[in-house]
Amino acid sequence: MGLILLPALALGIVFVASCGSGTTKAEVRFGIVGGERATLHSLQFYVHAIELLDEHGRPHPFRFAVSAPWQNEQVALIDLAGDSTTAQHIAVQGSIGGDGGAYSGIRLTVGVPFELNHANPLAAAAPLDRGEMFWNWQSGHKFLRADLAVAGHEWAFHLGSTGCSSASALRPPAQPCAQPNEMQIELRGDPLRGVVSLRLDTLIAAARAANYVVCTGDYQVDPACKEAYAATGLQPGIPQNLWVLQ
Amino acid sequence: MLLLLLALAATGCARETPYQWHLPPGFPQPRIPDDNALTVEKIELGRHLFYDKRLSANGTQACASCHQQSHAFSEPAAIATGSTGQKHHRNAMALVNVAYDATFTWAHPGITAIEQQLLLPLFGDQPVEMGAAGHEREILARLTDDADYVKLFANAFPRERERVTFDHVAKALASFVRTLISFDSPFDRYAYYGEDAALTESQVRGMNLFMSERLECAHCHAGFNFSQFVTHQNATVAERAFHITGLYPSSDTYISGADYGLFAVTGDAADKDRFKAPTLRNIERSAPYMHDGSLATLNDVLDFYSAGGRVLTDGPRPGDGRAHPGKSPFIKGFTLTAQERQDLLAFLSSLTDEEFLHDPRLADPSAP
Repeated sequence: MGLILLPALALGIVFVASCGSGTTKAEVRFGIVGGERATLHSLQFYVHAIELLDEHGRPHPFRFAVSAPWQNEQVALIDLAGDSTTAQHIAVQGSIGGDGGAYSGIRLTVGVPFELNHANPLAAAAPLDRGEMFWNWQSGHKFLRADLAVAGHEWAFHLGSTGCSSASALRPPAQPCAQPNEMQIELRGDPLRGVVSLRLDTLIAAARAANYVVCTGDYQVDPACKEAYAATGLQPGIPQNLWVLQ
Repeated sequence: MLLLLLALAATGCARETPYQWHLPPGFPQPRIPDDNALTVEKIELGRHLFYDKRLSANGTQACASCHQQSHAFSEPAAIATGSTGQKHHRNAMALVNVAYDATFTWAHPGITAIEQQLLLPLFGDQPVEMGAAGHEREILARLTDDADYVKLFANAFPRERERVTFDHVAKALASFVRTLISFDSPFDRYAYYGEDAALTESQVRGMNLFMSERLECAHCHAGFNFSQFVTHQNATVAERAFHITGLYPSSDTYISGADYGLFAVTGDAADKDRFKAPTLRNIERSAPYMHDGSLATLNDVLDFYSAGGRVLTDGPRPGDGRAHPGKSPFIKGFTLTAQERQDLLAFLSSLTDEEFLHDPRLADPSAP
């Protein structure tokens, strides 16, 4: 019996930001959520390690196309808040070996692999060269950056690794951080027929619960982070509430 | 073919020497406009012009009058004064690594090239700075009458028939200003050259505080230029974000004479009091601070941010800036111990680049 090599299909995993049950356009900047005006200043995140699950639940790795400036063979940056002055990027381009049949789910990691996360962004290959997504050598990149205003209140949720040990903020850690905080997401449904949606309503509820005090670190102890961090699924026993496949 | 060779030889006699950047290892180069290639000859012309008072209509003021090298190309005055004595409403910005800036002035998203920006001080009349408007011929005649300038313009723009023009003045000035590059501070030695001993223990502690989520300084004073307004050759997106810091209270009514920053450009009420986060490089030498120079010292600035804004009891805009509804969410106040304050100030002083502040290549060419 010969080995049959199936051609790889060029595919895109599409991401959107959604307000409640209805999905808005990817370029959403002004949305009415829960009767209040929300303005999105920034909504960006890094994605890697995507696998599509076939009808038997078997994982098939999604191979990233190398497409500067948004993605290299390991990591892609998704930007859902681009406007007329800044580009946006709403889909991870890539391919998957297989027959193009139906898929039943998707696994993906929102984050940056440790070995890529703590290098100088000036010298890093795209998409890890975006300064506004970088904290410093010690903490690495913001995996998810959401900056928004709700009913006139500015709020931000920036998620990345914490508990990273090094000589100073400007030196990279040698060992993985105590809390890597990479979000490993598994969603049911056919990711090639649907879109992966980031729930703005969850973020807005978290902003209200935080009384609009920003959450940019100390996720497990800062009261301003309580609801936002719970929604990430990073707390044991609490399922994530940020991502849905629509 | 022979004609072509002759033509090449004819243009080849003029030397247009590409500028060589001296940047830390791995650093991307600044973006240079396609129509203003950076040459040594243009930089030399621009340097002469930058320091020349004959560029102002009444011959009393040069670019360098308000942008002084020893003050990181700013001046130790709260607000600038133009050549006619008219007061500017803003503090002269330090010119440090502006070759990397994505936008110019304290609050203007549309000015994206130095060539554009410098027309404001040259020709602007609200307020008058150099006052060149209406005196263009006179000023160009001063340059044309000077044999040294004729030579400098000829070297800088050898292919042009008409050499002494304001377009060339702007291109040469922009070229010189692009070379005001500061990457040799103790911070740079530590960060970009990996020299652990370049910073003191106090400076390292201050740097860690600066980068901490508790203080949030680095959210707006971010990246290699401590500003969110950078672009460079490899950059995919020019970053820019104008912020409200709580320096003044919000105002629903329009107060004549008040400086509302970005609002003056966009007309969007949400942009009232939004300004650019300027670079912090050489910040110790570029006092006073803020867009109107209203904070005299770095200690005042630390007081201001630790309080999460400022309360004004008198002046044209009294009120509680801390409660400005559009204030950046990262300005939430903090408490510093005496040691922490000392460490932070020590860190800020590590951004001082003495080489830059004393580099003779950036100084007045007529100086002895």
